[in-house]
Amino acid sequence: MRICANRIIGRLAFAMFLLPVLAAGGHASPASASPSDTTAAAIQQLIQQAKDGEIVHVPAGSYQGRLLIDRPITLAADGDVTIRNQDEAPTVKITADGASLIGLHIVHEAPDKNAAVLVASDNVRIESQDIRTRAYGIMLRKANRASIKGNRIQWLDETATASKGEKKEKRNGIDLFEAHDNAISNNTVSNLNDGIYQESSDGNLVEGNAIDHSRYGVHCMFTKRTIVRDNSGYANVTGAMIMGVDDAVVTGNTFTKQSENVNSQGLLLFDVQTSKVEGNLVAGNRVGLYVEQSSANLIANNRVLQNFTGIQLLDSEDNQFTANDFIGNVIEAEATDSKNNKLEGNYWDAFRGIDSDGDGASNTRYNINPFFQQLTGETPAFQLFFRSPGMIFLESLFESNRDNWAFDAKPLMKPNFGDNASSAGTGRFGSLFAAGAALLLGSIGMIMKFGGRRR
Amino acid sequence: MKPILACFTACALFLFLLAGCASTKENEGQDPAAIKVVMSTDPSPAAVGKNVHITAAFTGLNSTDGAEVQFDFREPNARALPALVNATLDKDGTYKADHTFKVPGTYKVYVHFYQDDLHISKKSQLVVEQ
Repeated sequence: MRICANRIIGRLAFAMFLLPVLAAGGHASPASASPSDTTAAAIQQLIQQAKDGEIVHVPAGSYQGRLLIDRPITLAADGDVTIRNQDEAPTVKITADGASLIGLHIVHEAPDKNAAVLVASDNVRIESQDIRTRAYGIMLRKANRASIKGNRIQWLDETATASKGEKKEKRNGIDLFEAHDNAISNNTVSNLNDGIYQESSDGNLVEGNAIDHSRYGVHCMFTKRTIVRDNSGYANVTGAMIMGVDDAVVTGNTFTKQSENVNSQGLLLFDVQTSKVEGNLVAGNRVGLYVEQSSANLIANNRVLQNFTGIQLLDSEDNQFTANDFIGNVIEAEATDSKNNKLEGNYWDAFRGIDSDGDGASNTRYNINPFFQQLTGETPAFQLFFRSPGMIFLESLFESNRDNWAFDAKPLMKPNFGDNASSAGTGRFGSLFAAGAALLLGSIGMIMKFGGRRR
Repeated sequence: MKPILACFTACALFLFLLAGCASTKENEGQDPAAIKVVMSTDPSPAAVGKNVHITAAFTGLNSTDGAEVQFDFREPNARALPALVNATLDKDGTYKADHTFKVPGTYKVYVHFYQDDLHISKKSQLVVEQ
């Protein structure tokens, strides 16, 4: 009887111990995975068990596998969390409206056509991921009103060359297709194909991103109402490629240091209509602004510095260029088969005008002489004679087809951007002066040492 | 005398090298404005539901080594998905592809030229009859 009572008491005590434990497990919020798990399946289980709107915390650790977020939950890293996937499938796939992904390290190892993160639903938040990939970084497909913010995406391999010497095909960092009204902001993309690519996607904001060592920094194809604002790109082939686009706003971007690639362009507009390109800086490219088959665009307040060709127009009409600074470009402007483009009120550092009425603009128009451009197009070696006295003299004699030359009706006497623009020119002049002084001193030294008359 | 001669020879060699490098087409960037594309179809005009041979003849290219060409057909309905057709380089130096159009109308055609980091697009039109 005593033994039976003891057993009952023992079992009751055990049950009393279990009850709070079970209760705590049933109402746990936020949920968390055991740090000892190494497969993504444990995280997946928590996703399935979580309630709508819940935050699922993933403890620090490395997890192998893939995840599917098909619930409107927030998956957040609690410390240093790495999801590593070798399968040919998206590492993280989001199919639930309103889901969020925050602060994970994602490694997508398969060199396929998938993405480290695939978003296929609306109102999704992807923030502060650190993604290393051999495929796409973040892919949006029929995903609207997403916020893609503060992520870092880079190519997984340091070199793009496979062991057999074949070049691996890189994919895009952030890739949108039929994805509308999204905000892509403050992301960093390095060493991929295109940093941010969007096609057939309208109303998207691309703002404050930094792209480097990629092909195109920002690439827009067949989009409407796109805003590309305050982004920076360096060491890319082209800063921004805008193609087949209507009503875009491209403003406040900086695309520099792309001179390592001989095909480099700062901004490329192809088949672009009724768009505004304002307040951008393009420097050190083969072509600063390239405009082809585009019409009715406003290109204003840009700084076009130290490019081989400042602006190149092809088959483009009815565009307006005003208040831009063209400084330090070898060829100021080049126009082929382009009519009715209005160039007015720009600053051209190669032009010396006369401002007799003090309004800040020259009273003589600036006719952009195509002589040097045509000469170097036939024989590139003549670039050696850029701005040489002989070349300037020959240019002054060239009058062929003058009526077809591009011209600025009211060129400015001073740059629009004051100190920044003049310091660009001063810096270039300073280095030229130093090189010239060094050559002069070297020549004098050689003459003194070896050129004396022998007795 | 010898140092002056050596210096002069070095400068002359340097100039020769520079001129040689500057005149090598392969080292120049590809100027997109120099490229022209003439597109043709067989049959002409193209017709709905029939196999159409499309040819793109390029001029102004520095080289075609490692190049890929793709036709991008955009239907008259601007919201329709594009048809992307890869072309192959023919012996005659043109790029060719076959395609069957399902909808009549005037198509915008973008001819994409890819070569390493280079991507050049040229736009033309194509009429497809019923």
